[in-house]
Amino acid sequence: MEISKDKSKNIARHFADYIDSTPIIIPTALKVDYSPPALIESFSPSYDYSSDSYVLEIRPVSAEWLHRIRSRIINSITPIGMIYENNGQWLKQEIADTANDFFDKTSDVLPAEPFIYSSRKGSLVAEYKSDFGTMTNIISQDKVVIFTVIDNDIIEKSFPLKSDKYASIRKDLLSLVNALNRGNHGEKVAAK
Amino acid sequence: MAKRWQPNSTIGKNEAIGRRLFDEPMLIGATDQPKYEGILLRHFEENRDNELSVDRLGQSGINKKVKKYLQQRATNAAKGFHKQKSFNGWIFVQKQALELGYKGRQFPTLASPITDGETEIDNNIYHAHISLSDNSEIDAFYLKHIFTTKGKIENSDTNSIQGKSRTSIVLLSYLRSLYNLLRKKNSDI
Repeated sequence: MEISKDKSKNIARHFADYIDSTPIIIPTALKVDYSPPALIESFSPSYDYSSDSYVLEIRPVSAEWLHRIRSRIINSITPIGMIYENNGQWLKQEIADTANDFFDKTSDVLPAEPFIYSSRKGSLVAEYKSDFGTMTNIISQDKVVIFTVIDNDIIEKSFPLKSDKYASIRKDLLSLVNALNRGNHGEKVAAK
Repeated sequence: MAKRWQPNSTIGKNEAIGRRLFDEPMLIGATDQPKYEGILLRHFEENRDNELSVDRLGQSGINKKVKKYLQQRATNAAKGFHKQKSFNGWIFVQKQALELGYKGRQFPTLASPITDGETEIDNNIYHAHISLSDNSEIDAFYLKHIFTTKGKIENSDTNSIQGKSRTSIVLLSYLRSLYNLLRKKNSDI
């Protein structure tokens, strides 16, 4: 069948009118909420959920006192423009950063809220006390030395402060803190 | 009157070796933290060199005359810091406790009298020192442990004098207010 030129023009015009006037219905399941790119970025973590590294990034629940220690450290950083003088009142930025990172990653396995001060060398010293002894952390720029004194016995451990070492630091801290809470003689706990 | 004890060039094993305790500044942002009851690591660190200064306080305990001699020097030293400090006394142990050390860490103490001071008060015939390793923070921890577990604290006399004067001030202000009250009552009548 042959369609004349005019008739085909009419059919085309009617079809175009029909398309224009008919609303396009998209199934709800296919609808996508539009958000500006910046917003999408802020809500999309850059982690690869399927990889193991994401699992390692999950942070433990922080200790209740962590925010106080953080603010004490931050408020003690030598102000910009002021020459650092090691008189016990100020901390170097690098030491403060390392210490904050250490507390961020270990606060849940530390014995209690520490008392902090600066050593004469500029390291941050954190002192803890428990029923059966004491713990002292000396945090310098690249390592932490942990002294645990239980029933007059000193356990000295030193760890380099690198991100891949925190798993072992946490493990050792946990066993030290357990010993601190228990004492060298388990029966003491029962006697309490 | 008995003479003050004159120390030998070698330190006897029972001699009282004391480290001066000055008040130490706290971190500027951490003034809100609860007071720490223990002795700070800073007390066993030196700013300048690897020799920890100590005083020989007596042959077998605290010698009162030696303490008086050293008290003046320590108070003087407290004023000489960049920011003036107060001298609170000494923490002391017997020399043999330092020699014995802890698990192989020993701290031999050597007499090092200061005799070339500009004035007499700059001299200290009872001065001695403990040699520290390159890792002075670790040494400081062990020294703190030895001094706190085997030693005692000897308060400075200044503290008790200050204490008395504080009491006197409180008493005086109380009497003054009582006097004012009585005078006011008399004038009312």
